[in-house]
Parts: sequence; C-alpha cells; structure tokens
Amino acid sequence: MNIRNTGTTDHLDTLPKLLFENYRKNPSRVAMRKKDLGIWNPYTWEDCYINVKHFALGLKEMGFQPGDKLSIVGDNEPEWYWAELAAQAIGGTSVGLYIDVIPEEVLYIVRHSDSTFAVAKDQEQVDKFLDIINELPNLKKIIFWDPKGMRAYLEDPRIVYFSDVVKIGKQYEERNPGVFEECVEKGKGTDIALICYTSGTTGLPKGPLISHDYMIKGSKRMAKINPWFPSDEYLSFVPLAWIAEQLFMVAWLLWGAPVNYPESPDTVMENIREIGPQFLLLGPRQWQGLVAMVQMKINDAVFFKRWLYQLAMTIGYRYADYFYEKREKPPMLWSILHKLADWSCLMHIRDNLGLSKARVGLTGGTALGPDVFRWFQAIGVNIKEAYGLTEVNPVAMHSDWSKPGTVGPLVPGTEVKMSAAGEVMVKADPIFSGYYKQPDKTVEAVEDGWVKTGDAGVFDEDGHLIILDRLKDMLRLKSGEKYSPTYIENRLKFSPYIKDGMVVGGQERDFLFAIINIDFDNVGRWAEKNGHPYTTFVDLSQKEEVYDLILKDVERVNKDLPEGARVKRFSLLHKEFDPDEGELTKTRKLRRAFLDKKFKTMIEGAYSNSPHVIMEAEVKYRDGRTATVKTEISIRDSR
Amino acid sequence: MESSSQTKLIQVNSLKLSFGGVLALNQIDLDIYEGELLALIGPNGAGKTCLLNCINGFYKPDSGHIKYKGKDITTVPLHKRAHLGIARVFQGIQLYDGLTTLDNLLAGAHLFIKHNIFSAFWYIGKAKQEEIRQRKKVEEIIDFLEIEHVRKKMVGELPYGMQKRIDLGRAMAMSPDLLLLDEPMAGMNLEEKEDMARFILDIHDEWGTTIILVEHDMGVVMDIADRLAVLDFGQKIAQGIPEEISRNPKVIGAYLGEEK
Repeated sequence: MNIRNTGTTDHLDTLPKLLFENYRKNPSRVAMRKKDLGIWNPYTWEDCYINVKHFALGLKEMGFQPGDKLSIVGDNEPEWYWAELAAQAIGGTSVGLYIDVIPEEVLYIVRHSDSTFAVAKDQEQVDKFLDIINELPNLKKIIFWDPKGMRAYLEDPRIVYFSDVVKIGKQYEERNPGVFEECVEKGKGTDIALICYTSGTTGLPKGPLISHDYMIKGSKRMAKINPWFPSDEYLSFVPLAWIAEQLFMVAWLLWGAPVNYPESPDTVMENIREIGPQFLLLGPRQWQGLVAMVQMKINDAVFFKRWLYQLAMTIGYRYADYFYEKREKPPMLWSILHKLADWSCLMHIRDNLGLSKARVGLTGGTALGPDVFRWFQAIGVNIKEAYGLTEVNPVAMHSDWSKPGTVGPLVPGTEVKMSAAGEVMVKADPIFSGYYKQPDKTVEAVEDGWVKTGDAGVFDEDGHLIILDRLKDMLRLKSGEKYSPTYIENRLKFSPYIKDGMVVGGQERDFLFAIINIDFDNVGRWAEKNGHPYTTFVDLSQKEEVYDLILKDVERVNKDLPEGARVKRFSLLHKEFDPDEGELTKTRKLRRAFLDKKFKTMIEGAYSNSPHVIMEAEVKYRDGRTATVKTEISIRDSR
Repeated sequence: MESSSQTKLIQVNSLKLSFGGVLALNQIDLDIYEGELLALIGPNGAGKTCLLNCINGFYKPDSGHIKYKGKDITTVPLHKRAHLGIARVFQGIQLYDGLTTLDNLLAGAHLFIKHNIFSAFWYIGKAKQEEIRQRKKVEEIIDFLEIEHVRKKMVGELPYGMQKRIDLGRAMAMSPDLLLLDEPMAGMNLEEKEDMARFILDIHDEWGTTIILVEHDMGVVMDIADRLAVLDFGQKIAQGIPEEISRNPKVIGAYLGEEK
C-alpha cells in the first residue's frame, strides 16, 4: 500500500488505514486476546489484518458494494470488530445492534439502515434474523461466527459461516492481489464508519451517521485526558453497539494496547482478574456488582477478617476524603495509617477484583451511585465518570481528580454552552454527520453546529460539568429559575445521613423547600457517638443537633446550585416515606402529587415562614381503631 | 434426527429380572438404534430404572441377553461397560462436592488415562499429551454446556439445576456412545428444564450420541424423543414415535389413567 509514513499519524484518517499501519509496524505483536476453552488465545496484528482483509474480500465476492451497510450483533469478540473493519475497508458502513434486541427491533434497524449483509454471533442471534427474513428482501446473507448449534442451518443458502467467508476472500485475493489495499487507500476521513442507532427510549431509534474523522479525533481528544500506552491492557465488555466502546476500540487502533475479550458475559469478573487491565469501561451495574461481591464475601468471612476490613475501609474513606473532597495533602498520621490499611487489606481487595493495575476505570451511560463511587475511592481505585452522546462524544470526563456527582471537566477540543433554556449545547470537531434518512431530525438536533443534548446542566466552581436532568423534566420557580427536583434530591442522598427527600417548589413559589428523611441507622449511630440521647425516630429527627448536622449537607448541596434555585428551608420528617402508605411507588420513586397533598400543612408552614408546624397524622391500629397523633416539626432556614 | 442408520446399538432380548416374588422386568425385548434418542416412559415402579440398571450392569438379569454393538455384554461387569462407551447420569447427583466443576469433569474423563505413574509424576511424554487432550475435551464440554463461570467453583456450593448440568457433563466426559439419562429434569424449574432439554438435544445432534432417556415430564419427552418405549408393571406395552404413543389406548390406560 502506498501510505507513506510522514512521521505523524494524521494521514491515517480511516480505521482500516490505522489497522494497516499497525500491521505494517508490528505484525507479530499481540493485538487481541480472546478466552476460549479456558485459554487466552492471542491474535497478532497480522492475524487481525489478514482476517479483516479476507473477510472483506469474501464480502465483496458475495456482492457487498461500497456504501453498503453491514449489521452486526453478538457478544464482544474479535469477529465482531473484524467484521466492522472489513465493511469499512471496502467502503461500507457497520451498524451495531445490542445483543438483547428483539426480532422487531432487528427488522426496524436492518430495514431502516438498508443493510445488505448481517453478521450474527450464534444460533440465538441468527434465529432473530430468520424470524423476520421474509420482510427483508434486501438482506443477502446472514453470517455467523460461533458454529455451535448451527449444523442444521447450513443447508439454508442465506446462512454462511464466518470462516467460509474468510476462505472465499482468500481465494479472491489469490486471483486479485492488491484489491483490498486499493480499497483501503480510497477511504476518506469523512466517510461514514458507523451508524450507531440510539436505544430509542423515546419513539423509534434514530441512526446517527458517524464518520471516521469523528471516531479518530474523538478518541484522540479522550486520550488527552486519560492517555493510553501501548503497554496497557484493555478489557472490552460493554456492547460494541455503544459509541463509547467504539471510541475505545479506536484507541486500540491508535495506541495498539491489546484488547481482551472475556470468555462469556458470566465470567467477566474472573476475566478482569486474569488480565488486570489498565483500562476498563464498565456500566454502573457492573461496578455495583463488584462492590456487592466484596461485601458478600466479607460478610461470610471470619470475625478477624471482617474487623480488619471495617478498620481498613474506615481509614480508606477518611484518606479518600482528603483527596477527593478536601483536596489537600493528608496529614502524616493518616498517610501512615493508610499505608498500613493498604498493605493489610485494601491492596488485596484491589488484587482480588483485578483492579491492581487499573489506571482508568470508567463508567458512563447513567450516573453511578455515590456510595459505589466512594467505595472505590476508599479502596484506592479512581473511578471516573464520562459524559457524551452518540451525536458528539466525548464531552466531559474525569481525569485524575474524580468528583462524584459531576461528569468531570470538558474534554479539550469540546465546547459547551448553556442555551437560554438551560440546555447543554455541545460543539466539537467533528460532530456526527446527521441522522440516516432523517434530515428533519438532524435540523432539530443541531443549531449552528451546536448539538442539543436535551440535558439540563451547569458547571460547578471547579469547572466540572453537572448534568441535572433531562431538560423536559426540569421545573421552574416563580422567578423563572430552573431546577431539577430529582437532581437535588439525589444530591441530598449523597449524604450518609439522608435517606430520602422531596424538593418542593413550582411556579407559584419563590424558593425551594425540602422535606428530608433522615437515615435512622446512621444518624442514630452519630447521635450515640456524640452523646445526644434519643428515644424514637420522631425524637431523633426533631433534635436541634440533628438539624445542625443535616444543615451542613443541605448547604453543601446548595453550594453547587445556582443562587436562585437553592433549598432555602428544610424540615426533617418525623417518619420515613413508605410505599405502604402510598408515599412511594413500589420501585421507591416519590409520588409527588400525593405527598404534596399529604404534607400540605407543612409545606404551607414552610412558605409562610413559621419556625415549626404541627402535623396531625391518623394512625390505624391493627385492631382497626384509629387515633390522631400530633407531632411538632421544626422548619429550618438554610443558605 | 431420525434413526437414519438402522444399526442396532443395543439389543435387549427377553430380559427378565425379579426381586424375590416381585417381577421387575418381564420378557423385555427392545432394540435401540445407533444415533437415536429413545425415551423410556411408564408409571412409577414400571421398571424403567431397572432396565437402565441392567443395561449399565448394576443389576444382573435373571434371564435374557443384552447385546451392545453386536456383542453380548450380559455378564460383562459394571466398570468394564464404562470402558465400552456406556455412560450414565443417575437420578441423584453423583459428583464430588469438594471438587471444582473442572476437576469433576476431569475425573469423568480420567477413566481413559493410560499413562503410568512415572510419566505422570514427571509430567512428560504420554502423560502430558493425555492431560492436555483430556483438558481440551473437558473444556469443550464446559463450552458446550455453558458452565464457564463455574469452572473453578466447588460443585457443592452450586444450585441443584447447575449440579445436574455438571453431572451431565461428567457423563459426557467419558465420550460415551450410549448415554443413559435417568430423570435428568427431576426437581427442576421450567427454565432449567428447557435448558436441559436443549442440551440433551444438542448432545444428540452435535455429538451424535445415542441416548436413552427416562423422564416423567411428558411434555418434554414428546418434544424431544425420536421414539418411545412404554413399560408398565415390568412389561413393555408399546413402542413407537411420539404421535403413535400418545394415541395408543394401552398407554393412555396405563400411564395417563383409564379413559372414561
């Protein structure tokens, strides 16, 4: 191939060109590993390149034209990404599908994207295509790569085995040498590399067109905050149909750090330990899973180990506080204690989770719970949150200093402004190239090169972006100031002393008022330790000292909120919100309308400036008698 | 898969077995063809398990013969029958609780190890080759049964349905030509049953193993068996394809209750 090395990598403007470059430079270096039959099988850059090349030529021979689309569905495995690169190499576009799609979604996406070929992992996935194949006249072949259970399918002329396509391509190459290289060279950065269908929680999925430029520049921007090294190991587990994982795969092409594919979705946690990756992208649920796993095992451990764990974690939390909350160097004493805790316990937890070498543990998609965030910080793993959209990515990302509740500072090369309505607008070079076959939707989503995210957000004093809520879920105060009740409530819940809360406001009110449920266990423990005797929940919740304690948390939350939309008053409820009393839904979401009515006296009291209100509640006894219980509840001002 | 090749793998001829005055099996004649999935059904106490026990050598019949691959094995002792390629999954789980899944399966495959203690000690020559070959075989079974995530877990800690699956794997590790399954789905929930049925079918289709299945769940049996044989009070009262059996008045009478 006539790609001259000019010392920079700027001329490598497509993903297949990057693959070729890696093959040219380091053919025998390990590029991928996949655990199969209990063994990590390495694939060198040469293996990858040859497979991509032959698969591409096989596709070509079977009638895949430049501009055609290739739908791919399956677990993250080498074949998935090879198929994608193969399609791109011969001028096509890859369309990734999530593994749990149902046949109707397959039908919609394959038809809407005009896919002419499909690659599906195994019998389970192929069946989804077969269910609807009669409605897809343009789909020429379905290619599978895991032959298990596929014997009976081979008689179907529409179904081909991945290796057979590779063989066809190999024969084609022998007859027509150099065709593949020519095709790769023809590729341009502005070509469409993928169509990344959005999950479509609202209406039918849209298909943003993603160019090679977008992918390569996006990945390079990401690496400015969290750099990659060729010696790193990366574990690929989150779906390749998701843009974030795609950007990480581009980083693989750019920096050549080996990517490891787990044996099966059930073995990921073990596989992480075997690999000990430096880079790891997991969804919030997997991070949570790791915490749960450790806690479960600790609960089963002998007393001494449990005690040691508790002690080490206490030190870990305290030490992490200095770094992440106070932003100062911990005093000598804590440094020494932390070293001891690390040696005796924390280090071994990291090791058991396979996170000893983890430099970048990323999460994205939805927000990670604060306790999970803090747990990892305490054991010494710096989890980082990232924010981006399919339309423009990455937008923001934590670097060394993770701040729970934010999604980190902006990634260099990305601009963000807030629209008049408070919407986060993002500009980067480049953004997506429009929605496939939906130009009207593109016009709706982009304004003068700014992508409308549909999210409401603010920057905090450190320049970290905070995503408040979906814009449509934002409410306004009388002054017109916007606020997100859910966001503020979630922020309040970051405190170990607050279990639940409801923020009251609305267009008739001047300020926000919060009804807070204390966490009885934690506040109780705090009270005992600090010498504040109490009897019941009611008694504890109405203590002056407890109000002082919670006030600190409310003011901490207020600090990151815009001046006009702060919680100005709050009350500690004498009871917990309870699904049985209709205050919460079964999934523990607030039933706001009901609560507004139920706590009307209290809310009116809060807005009429009274220092306390008398709550009357009807109590139903088991024998059917009812009685009225009166409780005095204080209302406190906060800044 | 229909019994395409009509080679008889097992021939049972006028088999008789009694315990004192109880006639457990009475003049049973049954042919099992190579590559077929035959289900043995019948009410409780009909003699299904007894027949399996005779085939794999737990019981010695009073009279009659059992031929396997054309050879009379009626008097061949139990342990030698395993060498001939007959494996069995019992009603109860037969695994080493204190070993991992992997070790249990390796133990199943261990039967065929030929190397001597010297080469095994130094892990050289034949010992090494055999170990590697067996581990590969076991790993293929692990992949096949989708039990990668419990590979290194103690079997005793695993749920019942999973243990049953591993027990099936243990039998598969013997690379059998004939697999005897005694109520592999007993005590499972619907989802586990579906999984198990799929694995049995897959073993049958992909590995070409001949299977004799004893099972009470008629829905499963009717769905997956090529052919059925029905026992009642030690006698074979019918045999044939599922559609025939489900219409057979004798079977309905014996197994599903008299029709009014």
